[in-house]
Amino acid sequence: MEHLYRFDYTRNAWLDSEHSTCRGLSARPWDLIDRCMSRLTGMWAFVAMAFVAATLAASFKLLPATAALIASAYDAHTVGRWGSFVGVQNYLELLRDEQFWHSVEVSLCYACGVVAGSLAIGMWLAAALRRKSALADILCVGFMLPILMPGVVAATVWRWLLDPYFGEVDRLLRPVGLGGYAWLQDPHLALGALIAVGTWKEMGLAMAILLASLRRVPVELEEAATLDGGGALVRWLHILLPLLRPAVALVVLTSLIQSMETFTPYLVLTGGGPAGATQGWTLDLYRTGFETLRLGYGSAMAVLVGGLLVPILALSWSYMRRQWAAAA
Amino acid sequence: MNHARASNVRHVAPFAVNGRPRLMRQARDTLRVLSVITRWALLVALFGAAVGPYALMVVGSLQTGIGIQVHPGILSDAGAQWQNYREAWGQLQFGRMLLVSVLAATTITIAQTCSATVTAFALARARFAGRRLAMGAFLSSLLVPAPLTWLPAFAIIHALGLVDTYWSLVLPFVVGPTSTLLVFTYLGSIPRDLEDSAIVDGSGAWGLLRFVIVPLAAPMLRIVACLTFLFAWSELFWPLLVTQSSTLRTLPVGLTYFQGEIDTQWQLLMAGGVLTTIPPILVAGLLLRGLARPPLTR
Repeated sequence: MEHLYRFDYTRNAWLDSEHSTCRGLSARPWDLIDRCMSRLTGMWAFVAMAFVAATLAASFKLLPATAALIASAYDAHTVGRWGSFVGVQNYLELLRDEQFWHSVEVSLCYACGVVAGSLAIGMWLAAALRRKSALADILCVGFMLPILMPGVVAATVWRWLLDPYFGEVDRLLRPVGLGGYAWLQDPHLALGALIAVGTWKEMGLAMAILLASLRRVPVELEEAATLDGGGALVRWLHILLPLLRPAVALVVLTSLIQSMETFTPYLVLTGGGPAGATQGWTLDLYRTGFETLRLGYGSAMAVLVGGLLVPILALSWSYMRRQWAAAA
Repeated sequence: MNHARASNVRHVAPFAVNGRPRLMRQARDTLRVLSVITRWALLVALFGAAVGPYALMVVGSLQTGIGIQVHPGILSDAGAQWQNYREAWGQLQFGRMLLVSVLAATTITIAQTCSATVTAFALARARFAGRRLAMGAFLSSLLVPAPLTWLPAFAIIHALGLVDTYWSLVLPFVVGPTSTLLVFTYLGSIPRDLEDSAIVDGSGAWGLLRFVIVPLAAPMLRIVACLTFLFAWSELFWPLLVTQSSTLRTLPVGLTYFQGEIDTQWQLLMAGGVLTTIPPILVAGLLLRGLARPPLTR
């Protein structure tokens, strides 16, 4: 391969192995690396690496998943020990555990809120920025910025902005008559504030996926509808939304998984408070597993909620593949 | 131009143009103008909501301790307090955390992108015994929700004796099933003709990977690297779990810890936040520059 790609700039001609002026060492180090690699490796090397990678993936994904299934039948209290076998005891206790069910409820509320919010805002933004222009590009970049802010920083900034005494949000909302609320300290408002912050972070991604899909819709379809006398409503209901359905499904499923697995906002924004009002199931799992060290019980929690997420993950991947097939 | 002429026509024919009374048409025009205005107002408001926290974070990081409580959005008369950054740097042990974060995130990004490329190449192009098994391992790994693996993965790291070491931060993320599948799917969409001609010209497997696959899949590889870096940089849960010593704190972990310790000094937290946000923006800008269209359309 290397003789195809090595070009002798001094003679302005391609080098091949017979007429090469520098047989042993080539001038550029990466040529040497290529030469060595092409001598040393064959397809077998990549196949071997694929097996190593598969083993690693299995040992940090499949093995833990299986271990969690098994551990949920034991009452482990120390890391590395199974403890004694208790059968379905953990699950029975879990069914009566009000704190756990409350945390699942909190997580579901959060996930549904974030999905609905980011989908609605993302859809509206995609529709508004559909026509390509320099301004639309700039706005797009602006809306994508929240994704780039690390979750912890976003949570910190919003904790400051939502402060009841000197937060900017309070200052902005006071003229509207919504001043004086302790957004993160009021048990009735805290989850709503969390959802708002989550939506702020996720809406850019929803917009990007929907916008990409929306811009692929051929103009002719809409022109035909307009000629037949269809208004904006008809165009959206009968042409755009059906065509956008895979993209919408992708947005809903991926952000549903994201927000069901999220941990940072619960920990950093509210710490699960006030009085457990915003303790999502991931935070509950963390506290059960690593603070009170009830590992078997924690595993049962993970299996119960994780089992709910598996079909969503499977669906999201099937949509992802379909989206890919359409794009390619 | 057309519009002006149309209004002249309306003047001549006061009753109806296009079979509609003038008043109704005017009402419709007014409505349209109003809807355009609301749309732009809403766009600007949303843009402000998206970018505002960024701007406020930067301004807040330059405030005095009192200024940030009195008027967070406006710089105080004392001017920009650049020493906040120096203070945050010293007080939060920022240099150390930055080093750990950069090292861990870079290692994860490079390792995961390389492993994804090689694995996807082997799985997509080679026929070998056990290919279905390896594919199955990756595909079923995709279906495992992250929280399900938290407790046992910690036990595995514990069993390997890696708790509170640099390797515990990196090892679970060396191989990413998601990245691998993204590259794998992308390779499926690349025509094989180029590879065939390279093989005819005497290329080996390395030549194929280095000179055909990597250049052709470059857009996807860049996206995968960017996503991996963003994930690795902002990951909080895993580093919080596997490291205890303060010398191994990543930036997110450090910021979380210091929330409790320097709660009232928001200007320092904001300075830390600004410094933590710069690398992902830089990396995303560098990696995604030139990919004009958004990821999923390529």
